[in-house]
Amino acid sequence: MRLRKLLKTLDTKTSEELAELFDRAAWTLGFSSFSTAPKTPLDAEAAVVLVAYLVNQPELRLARFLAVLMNWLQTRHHLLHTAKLLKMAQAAEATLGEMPTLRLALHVLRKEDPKKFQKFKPNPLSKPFYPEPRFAALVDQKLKKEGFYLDLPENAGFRVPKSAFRPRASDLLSEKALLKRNEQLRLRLLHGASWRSDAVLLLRDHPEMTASELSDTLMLSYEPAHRLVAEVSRYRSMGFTLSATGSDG
Amino acid sequence: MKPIDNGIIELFDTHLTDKGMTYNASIVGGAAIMLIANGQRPTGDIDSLHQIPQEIRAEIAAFARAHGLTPKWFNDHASRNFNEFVRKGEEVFARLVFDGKALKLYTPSIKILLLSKIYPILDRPEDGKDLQDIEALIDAKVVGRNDFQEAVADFEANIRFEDDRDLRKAARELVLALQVYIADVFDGKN
Repeated sequence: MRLRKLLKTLDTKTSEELAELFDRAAWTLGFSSFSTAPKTPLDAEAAVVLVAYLVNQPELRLARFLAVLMNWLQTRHHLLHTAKLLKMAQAAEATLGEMPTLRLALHVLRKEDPKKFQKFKPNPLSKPFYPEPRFAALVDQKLKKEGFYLDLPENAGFRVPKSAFRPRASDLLSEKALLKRNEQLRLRLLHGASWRSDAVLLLRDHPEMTASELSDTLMLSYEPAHRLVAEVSRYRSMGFTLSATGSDG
Repeated sequence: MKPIDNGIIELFDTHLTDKGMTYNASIVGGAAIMLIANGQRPTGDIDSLHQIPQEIRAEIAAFARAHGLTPKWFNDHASRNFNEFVRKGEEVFARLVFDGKALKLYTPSIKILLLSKIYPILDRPEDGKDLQDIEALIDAKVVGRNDFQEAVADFEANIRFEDDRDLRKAARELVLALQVYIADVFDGKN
């Protein structure tokens, strides 16, 4: 799935299509659900970006999942590919405009692991963001009493009280269950969250993928994408196959 | 709108059937709204209004282990707030929303259901889920203007006797916001 292309078509999709996209993204990240139907996973970073967008679309009524996303980021941030997420976040805002929920997500990541996410420096919002604007007066009272979420400065623009988004264990699958269902994240446990790990998986499933397509799909520059395609091609030319673990077969 | 897949609930029904057990629960929260109004995606937990018996709790945990769920996927946290929104004589098993072989899930009366969504707003006004749940009930024509006004009036009457001044102040703000909301939603609809 090419996120850039998808982002450009989001506003043409019906509510039902967007809800289905949300279901796939939520399944990819292992949000708890009553559904037993397996879904086709999305790229993990694309799933984070899409959930951040979709929870802030009032007509979809997915607001309850903003807390679930924040919970996921707090507990599963070690599985994320930092550089890829940042590139995808930038592409999303370039296409869709300011995304407060995505910026809040980046703040969560920076708070959880300042070293890994040091390049995440979300700009202040152009206007204050209330996740539920209809109760703004109540939220303002709460903010006065307890301060801001993640101790963010007031000028960051997030009208979100400190105690918001309390983590609930029941919102997420266990890490083991998540890794069992999501091969991309499982491989990261073994190889680390890297372009190479994601590229090997993509090239295994799409052997015909070109360097240009790989670059576009992963939001990786052309030169390293070209190198990865060439390396995998050389590996294959020696008679080796990419196995389900992404290494040797 | 396509119905939301609730396969896990069906599987738990089969699990209880296989164990020769039965369980009737009255539920609130997102799962209740999904089962009544369908079209609202819930987080994956069920909130029982009553304490879950020990033998059922053990099966919930066993089922969770088998399906990679957390043991809290079916919980009774809402039972702690039972007295906040359930008055003596009120109907708790008002509507059958899941009719399995072994598992029967009910929701309480509309007023209790609405109160179970209004009270938490005081604690988490930043979270849009409670109002969105109410909206789903309105869209499904399960809740009308009178139901909603009655629930807000009940909430207002109950909260008046709270000792905490800040809470009373917040409750007044909430009532005002809900009255604006009721006018917005129902004017022109009824």
